[in-house]
Amino acid sequence: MRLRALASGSIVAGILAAAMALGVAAPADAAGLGSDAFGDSNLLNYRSTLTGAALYAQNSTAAKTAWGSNYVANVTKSAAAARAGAVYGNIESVPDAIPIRQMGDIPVSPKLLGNWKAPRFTGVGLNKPSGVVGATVAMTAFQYRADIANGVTSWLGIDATGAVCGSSWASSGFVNFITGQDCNAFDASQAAKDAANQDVVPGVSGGKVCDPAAPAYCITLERIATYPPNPNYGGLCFAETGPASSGTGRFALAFSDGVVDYTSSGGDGGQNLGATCPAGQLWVNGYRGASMPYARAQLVTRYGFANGARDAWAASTPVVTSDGDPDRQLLCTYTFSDGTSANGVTTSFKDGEAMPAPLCPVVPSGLTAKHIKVEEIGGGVDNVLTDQDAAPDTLTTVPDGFTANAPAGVDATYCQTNVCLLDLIDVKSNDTCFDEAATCDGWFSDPNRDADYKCTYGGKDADMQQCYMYAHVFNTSKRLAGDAYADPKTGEDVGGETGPDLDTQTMGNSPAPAINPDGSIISCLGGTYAAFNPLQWVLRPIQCAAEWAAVPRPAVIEADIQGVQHSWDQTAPGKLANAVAGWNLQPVMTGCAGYTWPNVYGSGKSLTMGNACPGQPLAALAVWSVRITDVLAVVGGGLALVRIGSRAFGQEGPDR
Amino acid sequence: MIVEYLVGLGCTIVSWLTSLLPSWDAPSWFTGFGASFNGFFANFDGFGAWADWTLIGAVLTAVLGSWLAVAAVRLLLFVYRLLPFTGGS
Repeated sequence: MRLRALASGSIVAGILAAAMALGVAAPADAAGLGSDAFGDSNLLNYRSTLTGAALYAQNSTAAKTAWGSNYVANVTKSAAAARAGAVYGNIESVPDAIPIRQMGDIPVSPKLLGNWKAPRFTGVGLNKPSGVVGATVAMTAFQYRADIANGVTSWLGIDATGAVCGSSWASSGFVNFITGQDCNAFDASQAAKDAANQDVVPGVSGGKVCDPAAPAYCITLERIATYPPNPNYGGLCFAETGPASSGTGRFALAFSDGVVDYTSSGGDGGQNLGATCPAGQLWVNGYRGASMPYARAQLVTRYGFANGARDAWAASTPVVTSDGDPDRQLLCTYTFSDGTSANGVTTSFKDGEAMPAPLCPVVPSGLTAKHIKVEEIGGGVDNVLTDQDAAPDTLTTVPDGFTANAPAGVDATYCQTNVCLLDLIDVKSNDTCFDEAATCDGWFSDPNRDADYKCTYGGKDADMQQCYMYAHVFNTSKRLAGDAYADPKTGEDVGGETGPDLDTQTMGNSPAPAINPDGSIISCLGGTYAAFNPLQWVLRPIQCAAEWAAVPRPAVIEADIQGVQHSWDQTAPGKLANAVAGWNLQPVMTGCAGYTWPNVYGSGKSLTMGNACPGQPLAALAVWSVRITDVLAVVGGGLALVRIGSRAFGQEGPDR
Repeated sequence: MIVEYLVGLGCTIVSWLTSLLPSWDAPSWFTGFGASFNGFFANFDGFGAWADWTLIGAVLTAVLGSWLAVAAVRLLLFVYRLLPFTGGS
């Protein structure tokens, strides 16, 4: 199971890496952004393309991490990553804790154990230490029941995971719970391939092949119609040319597992299972009779049909072929500054596998790339992955819209000879927050934010909004909680995970200065030398030192608590508590119409019981019922509370 | 800084201890119990006029909550008695 998860994770990582590579070459649309790469609505892209490489190459380690992590998060919005995400969903994080089953590997001195012996678990007596140990062992064994079972059955050559997860009955019911098999990633590679190739139109890639047994008869498979709501069904649409069948010809389907079956064939156009066949096309449905995990029906043959009896199957030579997993390529086309263009094509790859970086052409000397277009081709499709003007770091001229966001005087030419970094500056010290992260802690919520901080790009003042992406980077609690990402347009929390070392890197090793509640730096010496006051000269520094040493910053304490909370939430008791907290038990019983029993014993008549709506005979009785049950509930509940409370303090009732 | 360090150290220890607990994902039938529970009673929505179900629900919640609270206290006392040099043997 872990190997399956590892393999699945590797595939996704490969796709993401390819997406990143694609993003480096063509960042804007590869990140799922609009073609208006430099418009006001595309601040994120502006930041990524303009500041990315320079920030990563020249700023601090913290900046690298912050930018890199954000960029990865943004790039995952690309078409390829979204496609993978739709298949895999959330990939489980690999726990970094020592599993309790490995605690035996921790060396313990025999002297420390003394004469202690492992208690015998009798299965009873849970109020004794031996019972607690036994129960813990049993619970641990149950927790790892799937690993244990898989290990044992693998010795016998049995695929326990496949046995459970391959059955729709077992994989989603009590059997799955008892066996503990994780079916989430079962056959994920096939699921990925099936989902990734949904754009393949059968009949286009494979073309049409005439039936060798009836050379004049040709069929073109137009559409495969799988039917997800009921996996037992599949169907397809097709067009035929040749002699009129006149009701004597029927068609068979081959499903993804190779089984050939037939139930019905239809007429001209109309509703098929899962798809509507266009006018002029025929349809045929197939009922597999058993679940097809990933149905992909294929029209295989034509057989005779006369007088209500089917003839024997004809030769199973497919009359139509289609490649469900065709070869793909990435086509990268540059349009140069002189209007000419050139392209490059990658080697073939399969959809659902790692996508290679686009192989873009070399820019001729004296020209610049003005426009870039990357397409995924193959399988009869042409998916445009990006189609945009080139990023400014490959230009020598300023593209339209660039000056709307960039500070005055900063353009592509300026950035060729200057360090173009997006930076947040602490106005008090006139230093970058990347060097004094603790001072800038909580800068985004500072009521005097615009006065206390300024945003610069390329050393020139930029609009403060451009630095909203750093809203949580300089926020201790957010950062320690692994949630340092912010919407670059609004500064709002967007969730996500940061690297575990981001805090250390950002905070640096220098001690943080003492901060007043209003955010200003405490002056431990200022002002006290203006007058002769030896007491203050000594007291004030000591007071500062004591405050620095003893008074914790609320944000840090809050972050510590959040860290413990996060750890607890990952444990079984934590998840159990969260699951129970999420139950939201709020049954609603406010109606008065009673209960209606439809079609009583097949009589075609319904029976209504307990209808106490106004005007009904039972309405008055229901009023008294409410009064009586209210009294019973209050008195009974009160007595129960008294009994529970009294026994909690040692008072036992006579019936005990 | 000293208090922060001590608090951070304590939290690190607690986090490490909690990380030793086995991981577990609640099965869907357990996480979806609330919906099943509410859905079951939705079948009897038409009997709302026969009793003040809100009051009855509150009473049942109070009784069950009190029982659980007492049980939790007893469990804590039980664990406390297992600790050496405290109340245990």
